[in-house]
Amino acid sequence: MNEPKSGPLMSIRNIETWYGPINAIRGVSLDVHEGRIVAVLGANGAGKSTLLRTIAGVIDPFKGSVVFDGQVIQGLDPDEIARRGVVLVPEGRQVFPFLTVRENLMMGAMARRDKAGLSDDLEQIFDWFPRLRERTSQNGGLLSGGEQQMLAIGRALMSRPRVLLLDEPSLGLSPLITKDIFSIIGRVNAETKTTILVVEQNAAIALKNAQDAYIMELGRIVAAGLSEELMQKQDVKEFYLGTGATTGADGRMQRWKRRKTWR
Amino acid sequence: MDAQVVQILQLTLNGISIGSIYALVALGIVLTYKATEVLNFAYGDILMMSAFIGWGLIVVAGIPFWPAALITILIAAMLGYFLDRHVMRTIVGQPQFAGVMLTIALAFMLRGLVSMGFGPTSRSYPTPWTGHITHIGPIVVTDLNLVILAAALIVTALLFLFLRYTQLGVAIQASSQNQLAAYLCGIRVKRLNSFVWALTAAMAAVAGLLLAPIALVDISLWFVVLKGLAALVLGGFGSIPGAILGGLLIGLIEQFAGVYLPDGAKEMSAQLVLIGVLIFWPRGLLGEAHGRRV
Ligand SMILES: Nc1ncnc2c1ncn2[C@@H]1O[C@H](COP(=O)(O)OP(=O)(O)OP(=O)(O)O)[C@@H](O)[C@H]1O
Ligand SMILES: [Mg+2]
Repeated sequence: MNEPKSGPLMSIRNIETWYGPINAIRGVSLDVHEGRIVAVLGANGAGKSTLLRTIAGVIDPFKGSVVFDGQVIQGLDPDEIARRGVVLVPEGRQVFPFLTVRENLMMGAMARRDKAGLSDDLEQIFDWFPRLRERTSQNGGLLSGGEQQMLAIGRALMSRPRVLLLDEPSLGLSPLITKDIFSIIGRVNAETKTTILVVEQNAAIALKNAQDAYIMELGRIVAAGLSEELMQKQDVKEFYLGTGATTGADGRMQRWKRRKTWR
Repeated sequence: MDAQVVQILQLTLNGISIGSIYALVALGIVLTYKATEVLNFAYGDILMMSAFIGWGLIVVAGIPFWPAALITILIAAMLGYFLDRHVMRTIVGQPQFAGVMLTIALAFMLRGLVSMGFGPTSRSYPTPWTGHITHIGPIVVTDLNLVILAAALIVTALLFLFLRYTQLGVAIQASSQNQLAAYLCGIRVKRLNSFVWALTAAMAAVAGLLLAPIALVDISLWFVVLKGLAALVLGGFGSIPGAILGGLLIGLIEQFAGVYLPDGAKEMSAQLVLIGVLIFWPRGLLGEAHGRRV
């Protein structure tokens, strides 16, 4: 995969976000190029969700800028940002529990200006997520966890987003469903050229499916690059992929002996 | 027919009629609560103010009943929109009690404004049905009571159809089920909230215009918000069918308490029910089983 040539579709510069006295993001910059899948990896509490919430306008940054398609979008209301095509699928299956699957999906289309082709898009979603097709008139709250995640992603896709922000799509799902979801994310990206920024704990599957990747720690970006390159780095292997760790004489992992080179 | 039976039928009809007004009030409060997460204590005062506006248009300006009612409903809707847009919206994101406090303050302001503008005297206005009665078998009902019942039914049915079958209505449901997800779908949640305030204020106006001819156009009309809250608690807080059922039951309980219980019981009955239900049966009749525990 080659480096993209044109400027980024979305660029984030020196974002700083606070929850009251807690500084969750401490100056993050990253670029998202059109048509790519970009992964952001990091441990619990690294600030990944906060980063996506900041981009989507759920929380305002204290400093820094988010420029999407040449326009500054930070500080706008989340509904306005969604209408401009930056759509977040938040952590933890946020569906409308008492609306049917079809109604849930149609709500996704509220963000789009051009209402043509709605039923085609609905068909397309059902092609990607056949489980949803079998349950069109069931209430969203009665779906299984994985199905709810599919519904949340499908709903976001109904808005024909230009950038899809996914917050831990694999959270609480079985490895098989996780694989399913990532293969669909790959298909969506390939078939519709939708740009995707995905946050994940599961580094292995995210790196495998993404083209670019960033690693976050304690509110900062500590590594960036093509995901193929990051996958080969010793410390990434060790700390995020759980392979290639140095072992001591007694055969136990001795993580503490290694220093992360990016520090 | 036995006089006793006739009286029971009579009281039942009156109870359902006044109860349908309480149901409308409860419906308006629960709709605002579900959509905007604010318990609107000013609801009774919006209703009361509408009755005064109706009186002004009919008696002072001499406008016929129907156009006057329509104008009143429109003014109330604009008032509701304004209150949300310019008052409630400013405290979005603050804890829930802030919203409650603010609506209580609004309630007193509206009450103060009405009392400044109209003075303390009670008034009344004529309607096309005033003074007419209908015989249903042995029971005698005022036409006003029948109109109240019919109007409440129509408003409830329209509301149901609107919420169920229009895109805007489904968006209101969506936003009341998961506000964050609604924002992220690009639903204009803030504007939607103002619309809900307008809609419920219009419902309050309908209820006020119906209630005033059988009560009086008086400041104390705001009391009806307490009946609405009692209806909500009885029906199961947060449940829309519960609001309707609770309203009708409170209406019935009041009527029967007025005849079969000692003096003063009628006035207290709604609040007694509220306290009793809260203590012994907090979920209410149709309360949501999956509701929050804490
Ligand atoms: N609503 C909040 N109020 C206060 N602090 C918060 C809030 N949400 C997150 N934080 C704090 O901000 C930091 C970053 O949290 P964030 O949810 O962004 O982490 P994350 O990388 O998404 O973690 P995870 O992988 O567990 O989802 C954490 O230290 C967390 O405690
Ligand atoms: Mg997170």
